[in-house]
Amino acid sequence: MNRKPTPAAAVLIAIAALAGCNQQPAVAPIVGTNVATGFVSGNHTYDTVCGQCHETGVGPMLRGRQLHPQLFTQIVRNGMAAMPAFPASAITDAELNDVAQLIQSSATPQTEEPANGN
Amino acid sequence: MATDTNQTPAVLPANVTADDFRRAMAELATALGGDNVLTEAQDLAPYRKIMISEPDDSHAPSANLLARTVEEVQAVVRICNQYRIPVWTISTGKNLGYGSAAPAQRGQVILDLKLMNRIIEVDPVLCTALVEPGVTYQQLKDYLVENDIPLWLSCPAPSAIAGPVGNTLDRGVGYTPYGEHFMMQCGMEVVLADGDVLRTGMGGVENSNTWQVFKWGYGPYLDGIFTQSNYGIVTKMGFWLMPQPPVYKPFAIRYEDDDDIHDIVETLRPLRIANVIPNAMVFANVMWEAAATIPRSKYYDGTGVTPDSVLEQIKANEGIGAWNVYAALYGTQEQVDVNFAILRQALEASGKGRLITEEEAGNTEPFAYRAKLMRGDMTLQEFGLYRWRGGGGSMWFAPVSVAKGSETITQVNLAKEILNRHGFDYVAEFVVGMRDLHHIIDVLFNRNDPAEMAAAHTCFAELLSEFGKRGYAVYRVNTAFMDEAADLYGPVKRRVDQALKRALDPNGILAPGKSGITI
Repeated sequence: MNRKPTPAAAVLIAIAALAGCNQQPAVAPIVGTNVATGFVSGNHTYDTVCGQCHETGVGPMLRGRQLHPQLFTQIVRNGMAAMPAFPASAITDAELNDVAQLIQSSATPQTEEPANGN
Repeated sequence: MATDTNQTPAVLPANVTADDFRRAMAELATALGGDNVLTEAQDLAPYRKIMISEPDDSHAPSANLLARTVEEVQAVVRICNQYRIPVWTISTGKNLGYGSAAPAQRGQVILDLKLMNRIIEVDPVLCTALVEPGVTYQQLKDYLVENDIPLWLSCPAPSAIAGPVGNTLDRGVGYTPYGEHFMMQCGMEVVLADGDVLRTGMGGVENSNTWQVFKWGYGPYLDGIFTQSNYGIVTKMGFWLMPQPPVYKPFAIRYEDDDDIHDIVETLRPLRIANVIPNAMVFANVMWEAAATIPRSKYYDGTGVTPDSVLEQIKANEGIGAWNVYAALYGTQEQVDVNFAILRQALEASGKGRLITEEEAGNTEPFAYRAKLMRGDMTLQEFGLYRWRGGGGSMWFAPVSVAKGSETITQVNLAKEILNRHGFDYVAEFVVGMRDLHHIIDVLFNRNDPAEMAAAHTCFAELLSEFGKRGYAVYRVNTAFMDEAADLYGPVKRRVDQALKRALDPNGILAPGKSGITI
């Protein structure tokens, strides 16, 4: 049953949300070793880094172009025009190769591409 | 690839012999591990990529060092002191348009802290974080999401690939109510040039648990001298996070005429100062709006300045105003409703501005990316600016202005005149601080065209000097113009900066030239 909270209850709920969460979530501080480059997976890197430009029309679409991994790696390491360069401390050769393979084998997007990038 | 410590170095730091350089690299390889001392061209290539108006070679590093611990950073300063090797420290190296990862001077050794990337603590009750320099905003965002912690970040536009330590230390800004990042910073750990480790604020108190909650500690407040400076290497930084509000209401206001910037400031400043609009709102001009979403070639294939007639066409076709305000309200529904009513009344009283809500804008750009930035979400949409003209050249000219309409008109006209005379567009926004405006202008140019790059360099120098003559100075600048910017702040400031440098880093090994500071 959907019941609207009373105005007073709604205020209390809102204040609790505004205060973050006072119920002390069980999140232990991380005090272990570093997480190397922070790499999670090729897909995650594509979605959270590459895709921020190459899926939004800012940069050219990469999927479906069969980009050779060697060319892809060369551009990532050196940058190109507006594209920043990414050193091995940001993504290792092996991790970069994961992304390169993913892009090389990707299908052409079926939806219309966003505005042109360069 | 690890360094070959017997090879002849391709690039050397100033006043360091090849033999000393090789010996230093060998000792560093022992301290850090051979794989963490890089001198091969292919390993250094990513650190040479710059967007500023000087040749890559002027900022070529001689080596790159990767450190993972405070002890390794201490070893670096010990060895570099011994051989007088200059060290240019970076965190994520994405200070794009300000010098990127490249050192200020040719031959300086980069100390890359990207692998020091522990999120040491996030306190969901006190809403604080303590992180290492290599942590990116994306990494921290992922951590908050994965752990279901309802706290928001405040990010600059290159959020996903930049990080809070580097941005805050260069006194960068974001777009949420926590947008003045240094104001929200609380506690640092700093490796000094002599190897000592300083914890600022409450961090030096044994068994203290207040390091991330009370900024000032006791005695002189020191955190500021480790921002935009070269007095130490920050290895940990605390800062405050914003509780996710129950209601978030982003909105835009569109203005049709260039001169409306005057009334925008006069109408909205009181609301900002009174905290009715609590966030670092922006006033973006037509070209900034257009550049973030479309290439210039869609409307104009020519060179030089974009004609006014084209801008009028863009405004009409793309639904962009001459000036476009982005701001947001945060809080309970009641709070947001009250503040939105106050905003409406202010706009009606001014007789200008068309209010656009999120419901009206839908998921269209640029509203969508602005809405993300104002809640600290990840987006790189603003990299579209670099596509406006193409060629990868970008330098941020960022003079500070008082938040008065008359001042904005003066600055806009001066900037336009200088930029247009050199063949460049006025691509600008104002970011609203507590009492000031950061007037952010992206000087965009083609680095592949030597004549255009030279013109951009001359133009930027003239912007600095002409604004300086009128009492306007930049809050931050790229590595090609640090001396000129420092000069604007006067000889006494420069002498004090130098006195601190000589006291804290007598051999001058830490980032010589940063903010114009040397021994």
